Amino acid sequence: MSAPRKSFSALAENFGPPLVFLAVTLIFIVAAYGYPPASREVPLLIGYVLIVLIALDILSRTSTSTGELVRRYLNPASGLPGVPKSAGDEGEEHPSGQKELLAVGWVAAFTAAVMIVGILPAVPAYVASYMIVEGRKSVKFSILIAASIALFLWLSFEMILSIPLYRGMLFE
Amino acid sequence: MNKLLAALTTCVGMVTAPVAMAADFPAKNIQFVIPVSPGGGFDTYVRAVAPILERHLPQSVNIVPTNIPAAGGARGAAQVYRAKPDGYTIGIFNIPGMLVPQIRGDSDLQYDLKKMTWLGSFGQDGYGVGVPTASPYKTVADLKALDRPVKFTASGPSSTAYSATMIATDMLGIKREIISGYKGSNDYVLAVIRGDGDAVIGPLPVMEKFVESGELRIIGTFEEKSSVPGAQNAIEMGQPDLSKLSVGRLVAGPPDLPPEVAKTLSESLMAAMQDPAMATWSRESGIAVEPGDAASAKGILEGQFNFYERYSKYLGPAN
Amino acid sequence: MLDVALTAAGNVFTFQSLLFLTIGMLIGLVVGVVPGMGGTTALAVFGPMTVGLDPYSALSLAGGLMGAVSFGGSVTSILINLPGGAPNAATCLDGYPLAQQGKAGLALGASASASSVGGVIGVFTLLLVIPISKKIVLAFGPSEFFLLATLGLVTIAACAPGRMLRAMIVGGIGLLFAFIGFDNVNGGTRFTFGLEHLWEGIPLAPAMIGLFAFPEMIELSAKGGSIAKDKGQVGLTGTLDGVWASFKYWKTLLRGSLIGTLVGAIPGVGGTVAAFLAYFSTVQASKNPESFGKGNIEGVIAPEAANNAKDGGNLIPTLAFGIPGTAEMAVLLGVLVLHGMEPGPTMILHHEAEIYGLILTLTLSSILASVIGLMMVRPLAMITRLDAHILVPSVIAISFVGAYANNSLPGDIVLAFVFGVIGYLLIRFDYPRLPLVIALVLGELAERSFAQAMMISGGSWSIFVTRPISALLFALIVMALTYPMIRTLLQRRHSVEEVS
Repeated sequence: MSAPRKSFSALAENFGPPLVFLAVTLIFIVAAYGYPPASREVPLLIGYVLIVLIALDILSRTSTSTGELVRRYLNPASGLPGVPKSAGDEGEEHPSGQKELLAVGWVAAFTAAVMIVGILPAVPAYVASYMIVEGRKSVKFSILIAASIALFLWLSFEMILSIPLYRGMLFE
Repeated sequence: MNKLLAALTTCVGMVTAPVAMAADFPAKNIQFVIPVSPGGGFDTYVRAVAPILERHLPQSVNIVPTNIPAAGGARGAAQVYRAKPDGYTIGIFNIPGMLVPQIRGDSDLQYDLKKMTWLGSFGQDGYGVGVPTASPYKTVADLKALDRPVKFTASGPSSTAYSATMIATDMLGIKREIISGYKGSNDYVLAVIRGDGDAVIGPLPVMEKFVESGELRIIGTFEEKSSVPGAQNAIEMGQPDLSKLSVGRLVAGPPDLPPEVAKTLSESLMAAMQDPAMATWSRESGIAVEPGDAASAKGILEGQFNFYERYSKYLGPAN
Repeated sequence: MLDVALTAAGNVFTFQSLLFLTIGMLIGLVVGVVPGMGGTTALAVFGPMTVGLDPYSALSLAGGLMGAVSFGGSVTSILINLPGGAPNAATCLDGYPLAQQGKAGLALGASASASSVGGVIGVFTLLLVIPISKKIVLAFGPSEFFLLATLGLVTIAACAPGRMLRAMIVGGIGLLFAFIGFDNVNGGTRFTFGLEHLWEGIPLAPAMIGLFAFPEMIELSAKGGSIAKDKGQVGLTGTLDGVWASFKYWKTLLRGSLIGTLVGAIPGVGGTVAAFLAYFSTVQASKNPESFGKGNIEGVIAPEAANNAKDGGNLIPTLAFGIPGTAEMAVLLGVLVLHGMEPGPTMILHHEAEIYGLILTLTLSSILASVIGLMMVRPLAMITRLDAHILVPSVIAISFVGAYANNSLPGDIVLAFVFGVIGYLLIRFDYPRLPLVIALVLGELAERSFAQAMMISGGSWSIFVTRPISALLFALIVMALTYPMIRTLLQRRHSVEEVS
């Protein structure tokens, strides 16, 4: 592929990240103006510098000659997306979007479970079900591992360290 | 007939149960809440007294010191305030530190110090004015006479040290500028020794250590009778009310604690504080303990409330 | 001084003290490995249990604990790219790539020896410096703190070679995050957006756990396989080579140790900055800086030496003035007070022998922990061979519990998850994560010290160059900023000349 695809998803992947950073920075800047002058000085300074840096980042992602300049001096390690950096540089293949979402989803579900029923029930449930469903391990093996992890946590935190583990919103 | 009997038994049971409970108190471990992170002065008091207190309780149970830091102590205080009033949760409180948010009217405040059951006090530390040993200022009057604002070092704007500095300098008529944000009393006293500021208003026990090592000189104490030779006391400086500026360590339980339970806790605490082991620890570590009972704790609280209500404008805006 | 040292040694080399030393060391190793838990939590839990013991036993426990934590923390940094504690974050940079290449044993070996030597050098420096410790502590005020913090922040630009612009952006965002919470200088809370949980700011441990545990685990989860790309290579043979490597690269070892001690001596700055500065300076001093981040063993030696040396440095202000520079020191002070030693400038006058005892146990632990750790390298290295579907849920589960245990706040679990997503997005779109951590660690110190310096100088910026140490630090910052660019320019000129 000699030229980057101009499809929407490619554009989003290229310019999305700096725009997200820009949005975050703007939120902080706007919020900063709500505070007294002494409190907002330094955050504003950082915020404005960030805007400049993000602008440079956006520039570096364009195919213009200025962009090329910025890329060479400030970010030589990453070329334009879709263009290989050098011959033979395959780079790391990122897993497809669907697999990523699934992976994140599992952790999100675990987080939710911990918040609702607490640490000690959620941990073995998560470990066992992940191993069974995604890893296709045998049920016995999965339960064994899951139980030993839960036991280890219980012993070390509740017993030895006297740090009670969160019981979940249902039981607090 | 059976129903009436059942009802009567229940009534009798309900009446006698608390009394029976009180007689058995304590029957399980008592949680002693410390609203700051481990390692601070308050933390140390509790951990030092815990084993001694265990010996003075009617039944032998464990006292479990539990740190609940965050929100400057508000979280720990809220936990004690909301706990079941059965005597198994008590806590140590920094007065006026915990008082200030209440007087200031912070939103979301989850405790009311006036309603807590006060059990005793470990004592109060007085404040004083210190300068580096090499400083040209010998008395508070020298500071007053300066034609530029005197630079004082202190911790952050909502801390006790900060409000104490503001209140004291106003009472004494000293023009001031406060260099704030230092983390802790050792830090802001050291800062003045380093030369970041001209003078410091801080707790006497902390300053006295630096006097012993030769770095600091105390030029005034906010006490009615000066414990430091050569330093003026509050009356000599013309402001007897300065003696109200102090840091108190008070112990309390949740509101509506049954009187017998409170009495047991209070008396055991007092006995523990007067125990020779406590005195030995106090002497070795250089940390003073002035045992105070429930009544004196309540008195200290009310005195501080009155004082800070008068000076509430110095406490900064409500959070 | 010698007779005091002998008294101390006599008390430490008793069966009881050595027993507590060993217990402390084992606790330290285990706690160090658990992400998010470090010396602070362990000391806070076990320190008070020593009440009733004699001071030497308590100090042996404390010293044992503190000396072992840093090495424990390097284990997960190397094996799964998850720092066991903030000071181990820099170890991930080259430690993890080594594990991926099947050289976990090599990395762990180097970490063990670097940690020991670093710890010993830190303690030795402490001993030398004790007589002038007060002068040192007094010489560092807000102006110096600000410049030090800035120096640390400048390393943000250098910690991602070739990605300086993106590193600075992430660092900047990290600084904004650092400003969330209570403002110590002016009062009032900022940027909490109504969330009470954020009042104290973003807690470092859960954020770091999320940033580092999550992304690797997500990638592994989506790709399958194991951490070590070529399972056949994972072996034990590298370990002794690793141990020897620290001595082979003795200049790096020395540099890391000295930086660790010096930076550790500054209250408030801490081991994380020490480790990063050590790493950064090693990169700059190296003949091939591009090899870092890809598995250069010196990139493990320098930060690991630094994060152990800092223990010696940390004790300087703590013992000289009773000013604990870090939370861990604050807890240690609490333990000392519990045993009748008063904090403050008089402690070292009245309790010399006990202090020497502590120093001795710290040294012993530093060395012993590495020895024990080395015995565990084989089973530990095998973790890199574990199948993703066992490793991923286990690491996620234990990490999240570590995040919770930090402050016993359930909100921290959600926070870890949020930072996990942030971390994953960052590596997915090719932005470095480390600057976020550096900024979170240093942001508050930098802002507060700047404001204080301005108050002290009455608004004049000259304070940063008129105070001698400040001027030196200022020069270091300028050097740090310009050196890489000058170097690239010189290299370009070289290669142009070679071609023509």
